Amino acid sequence: MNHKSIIRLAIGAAICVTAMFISYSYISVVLYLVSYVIIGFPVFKKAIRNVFSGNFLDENFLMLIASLGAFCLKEYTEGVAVVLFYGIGELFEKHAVRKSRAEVTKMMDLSPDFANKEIGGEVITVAPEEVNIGDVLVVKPGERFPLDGIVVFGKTSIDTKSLTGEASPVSVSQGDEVLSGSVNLSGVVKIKVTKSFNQSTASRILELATAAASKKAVSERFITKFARFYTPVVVVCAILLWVIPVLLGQPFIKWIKRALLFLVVSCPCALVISVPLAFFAAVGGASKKGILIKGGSSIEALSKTKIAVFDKTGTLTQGVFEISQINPHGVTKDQLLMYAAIAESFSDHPIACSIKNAYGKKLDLSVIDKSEEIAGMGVAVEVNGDKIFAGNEKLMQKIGITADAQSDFGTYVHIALNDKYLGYIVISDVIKQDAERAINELKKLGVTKTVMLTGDAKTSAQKVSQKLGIDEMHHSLLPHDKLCIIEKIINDGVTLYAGDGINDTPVLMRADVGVAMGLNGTDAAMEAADVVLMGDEPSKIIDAIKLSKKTMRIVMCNIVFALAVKVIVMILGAVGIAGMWSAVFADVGVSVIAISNSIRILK
Amino acid sequence: MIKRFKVYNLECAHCAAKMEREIKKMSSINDAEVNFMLQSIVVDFKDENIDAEIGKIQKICKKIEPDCVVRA
Repeated sequence: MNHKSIIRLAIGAAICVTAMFISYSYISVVLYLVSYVIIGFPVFKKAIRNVFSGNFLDENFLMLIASLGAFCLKEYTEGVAVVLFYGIGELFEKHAVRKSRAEVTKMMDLSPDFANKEIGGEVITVAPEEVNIGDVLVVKPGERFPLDGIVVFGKTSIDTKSLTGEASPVSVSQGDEVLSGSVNLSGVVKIKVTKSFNQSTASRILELATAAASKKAVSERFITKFARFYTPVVVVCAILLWVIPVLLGQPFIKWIKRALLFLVVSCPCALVISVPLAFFAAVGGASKKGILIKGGSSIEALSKTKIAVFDKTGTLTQGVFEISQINPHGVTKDQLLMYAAIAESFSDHPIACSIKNAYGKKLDLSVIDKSEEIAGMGVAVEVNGDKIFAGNEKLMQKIGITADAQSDFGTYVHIALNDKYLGYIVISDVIKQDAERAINELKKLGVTKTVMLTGDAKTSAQKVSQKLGIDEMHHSLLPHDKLCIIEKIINDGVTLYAGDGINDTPVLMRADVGVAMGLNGTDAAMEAADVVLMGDEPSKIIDAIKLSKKTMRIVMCNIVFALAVKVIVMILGAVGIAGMWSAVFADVGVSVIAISNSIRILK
Repeated sequence: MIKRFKVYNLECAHCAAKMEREIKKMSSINDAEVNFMLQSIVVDFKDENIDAEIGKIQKICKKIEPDCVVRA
């Protein structure tokens, strides 16, 4: 269809050029008419159809009037030019829109159309929707993983770029989780499916991205509204521009020429297409980097971010607790660790887990007679009549033991056997590599204040915030405290909140821009967030803000440019300086330029 | 009931806006959204029985852009 249109326009243009060189006037008029009809036919067809359905302000109809008018005034080349360039402009628009649409859907649609399922030693190809949890799939090198699963056979390296933006391949082997949408690079693997197609990462990403596209930016809505009024207003101006001078005794032809020029400029296409296209391209460009931005309104808010609030654990720090210090009193390090592990054996707290992991050996839980969790302090267990305590300073105070003072960053677990102090273990969370850079860059992007929220105690929280150069820090918070703090902060400016989505869904919703970190967050958090970072680097927020600022700049630039050119051409046309050719430029040329400008965002 | 339709041959951006305006005027729906970029229409129907309504939506779209096809 596209090729046909191009050929049609080319033939029409060639005939028109021929006509320009023929001096015998009747033949040249006939040639002009032929080329006009060839080029303008689809426009006439649409115009007539739309007029019959009662739509007189249709752009095709206005083009028809303008070009026919030019013909009646014996300005044949101009008449043909109006429809010719209108046709070229339309082709270009369609091409640009299709191209970016294809590019964006390709980036977001990560699930393959098939899955190779293994049943009793045989491999059959089925649709991913038909695969059940627990089925075993065979994935060959070069294929995308159709569903989320766990590797049960083989090892390979996978490319998770389209999910996380992470460029280097990740190696996986038996027992490792693989997410749908990642590409198998080197070896054949079998995976056991853990999530149904609809729940799998790839479908969830597509779902979130498409559902969110409806959140339109203010500028997008403005353009839609504006377009409704622009055309009628310009058409009325055109009529007035012709009628008033004629009533005042001015020459009929001179003013109708100027009025026709208005009709050519009356299409708001440049804006109607380029503005939504810019937002669409931004969503696509971001997803290429592993950032899912939900719609134009999120882009708009991101670009205005003034205050950036971070949850500490899992966002600025890795949320993986590791033992950084073991400081025994009168026992060996191994003994201290063993006592700690026994004390924590029934606890699922991340700190307990890291102690147990560090101890490494299997614990005989049958020796434990009694275990008790002391809220906000720690745990106590009874083994063969002995009591082991593990917890913070408050717990030690409670049982009458003076613990060593805290000096370093991290969480202190003091251990006591009956009334004897055994020493302490320091567990600390590791600050993410790019956290400091992220905080620094935010300042350069016009963020006036950075805030860190954490449930941790003051000392460890302070260490992290000082190291990263964060302006304001709130520590020892319970989950609902975070919401109260956000409520207060939000009054001071556009607030971005980044968290890993565990326990902070309400905060993500309340903030002007909620950023959920990583794909590990809950579904509710991913839905509540405006931006989902598929990897867990906080510096991705910088990329997102930069991209949104660029998008808003391009959108504003397009709006100002398109309107300015149109208004200037109309003014110059009304006073007789600009001719039909400038009007054609103000219509088609401006559209093409604005669209090309929007497409820049994809790159 | 929220349902998503695919639109084919939706080539002009403000036709999409027009379609959205017209579909929103239907009394049998709560909300509607025509997405030009994703070539889709999402409609929130008041009732479960929507067969007749789908026909109406198709008609609206056809009237605005005769080449376009709406499919569930």
